[in-house]
Order: sequence, then structure tokens, then C-alpha cells
Amino acid sequence: MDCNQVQEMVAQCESLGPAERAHVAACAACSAVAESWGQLEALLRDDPAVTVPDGFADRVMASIAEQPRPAARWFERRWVQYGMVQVGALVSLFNLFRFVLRLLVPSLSLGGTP
Amino acid sequence: MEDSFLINQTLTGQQDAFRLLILRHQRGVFRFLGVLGFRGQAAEDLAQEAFLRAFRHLGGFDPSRAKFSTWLFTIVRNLAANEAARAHHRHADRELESAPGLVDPAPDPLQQALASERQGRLREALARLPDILRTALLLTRVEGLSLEEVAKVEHCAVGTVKSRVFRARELLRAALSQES
Repeated sequence: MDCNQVQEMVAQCESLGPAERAHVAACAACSAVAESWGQLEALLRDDPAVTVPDGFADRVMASIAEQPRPAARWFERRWVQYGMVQVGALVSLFNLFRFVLRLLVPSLSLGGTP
Repeated sequence: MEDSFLINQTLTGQQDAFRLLILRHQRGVFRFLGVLGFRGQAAEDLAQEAFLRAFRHLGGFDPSRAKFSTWLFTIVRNLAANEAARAHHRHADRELESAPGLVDPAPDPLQQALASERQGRLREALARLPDILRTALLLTRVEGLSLEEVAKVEHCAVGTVKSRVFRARELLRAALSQES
């Protein structure tokens, strides 16, 4: 197995297959590279100087309590839904009107297939 | 529980769902702010504003276009950039000097003793990396964002992110091989 290829995969965060994992376990150079990346991630992830202050979420929620409820997505807004119902009703009414007119005046064509 | 479920719950008026979103993402937000050079009260103010902004604009968030974390990091990034610009205009040099990321925090003696030599070298090499390279590393390797997602957060091309990650890796590798 090519060490460069494996080390490249480790560096690119690609998930290793069973063969690559076995190679890393057996190869001192590749396992050192993998260990370095693991340590690097740990340093970035667990930086002791970066802490979430106690009660942070509570303070944010207290500020949020003073905010109006966030607007729903556009298609969920009441006036949009109302408008869509109105348009639907108008289309249905028009089709009903066409149907009745055809029954009453069979010779009349309103854009349908002759 | 998926983020999208918690977002929908929040939009239907259940604010406690948003608390879960905060708890899930707060550490990542503070880590990101730390890499961008904000810690302490400055970081808390920005993080609080970021979550408030996310709450206010939650209805405009489109889960089909981005993950919640990507969207949130973008908000954090914009706020941090604005704050940095404001600080620059105020010529608050003293504040900037004490800003984290520019000055290494005092090392904890116990941690220092426990840390291996290699880890110590890695820590030093990491601290010497430029902020934009550290940001690219953090977002890809710790926060699990794809290159495309990082590009959205950083308002740059995917190729730029790729080259930043590559440069960070090369600088770290060079630093480690020089010292070993």
C-alpha cells in the first residue's frame, strides 16, 4: 500500500477502508501522521482557553423571550395560504362555469379541444 | 433529534426547542469565535447576538440549501467581521492586543506537564498559523463542514478553501519537521 496515498486520505479527512486502517496500524510513519492529525483536531476541539460561559443558553433564551415569534416560512404564512385557497376556488369556479356552459350551449367552444 | 425538527418546533412557537439548538451548537460557535480572535465577554456578546439573529431569521432559513450549522457559522462570521471592522475604526489597539487568538493564553502548568513533546510542538505550530488557515482547519476537521460549506461561511471559492487547508497542512508539516 502506498504510504503517500494513505497519508493524503488521512489529511483530507477521508474515511479509511479496512485495508487502509490495517496499513495505518502496521506502518509507523502513517500511524505517526494519523496520530498528529488526531492530536491537532483535539487541540482545536478542546482548546482550554475556549469555554462556553455558565448559563449562556439561559441568557440567550431570556433575550429571546422579549422577541416576537420568528416569522414562519413564506409558504406557511397565513395570508399566502389564504391567497392560495382563493386562487384555487376561483379556478374551480371557472371550470364549473365552463362545464355548465358547455352543457347548456353544446356548440360553444371555450378553448377546449374541438 | 434533527436540527430541522427543532427548527420547525421553534417556528410553531415552542421556544424550548431553540434552547436545544443553542446547547447543541454553542461550543462550536465559541470555538469558531476563538479562532477568529474573540474570547471572554467579546465572544459571549457575539455568540449571543448570533443566536438572537438566527432566531429572528429562522423562517428564512432554507434547510435544502445549507445545514443549520453552516448558516449559523455564516452569521457568526459576518458579525465577527463587522465587529473587527468597528474595532479597527475605533483604533482600539489596546483591546485588540488583548484579544484572544493574537496572544497565547497562559499555559496551564499541569496540562503542560501532561502534554507530550509532539503535542507541544503541534500546539505552537497551530498558534503560529494565520487565522484564516486555522479557521479552515477548524471548520473542516472539527466542525465537520465540507469544503463547499466552508466556502459559503467564508464567502470565498471552494478552491480557496482547498488551498487554505492545503497550506495549513504544509505549514504544520514544515514546522513539525523543522523542530523534530
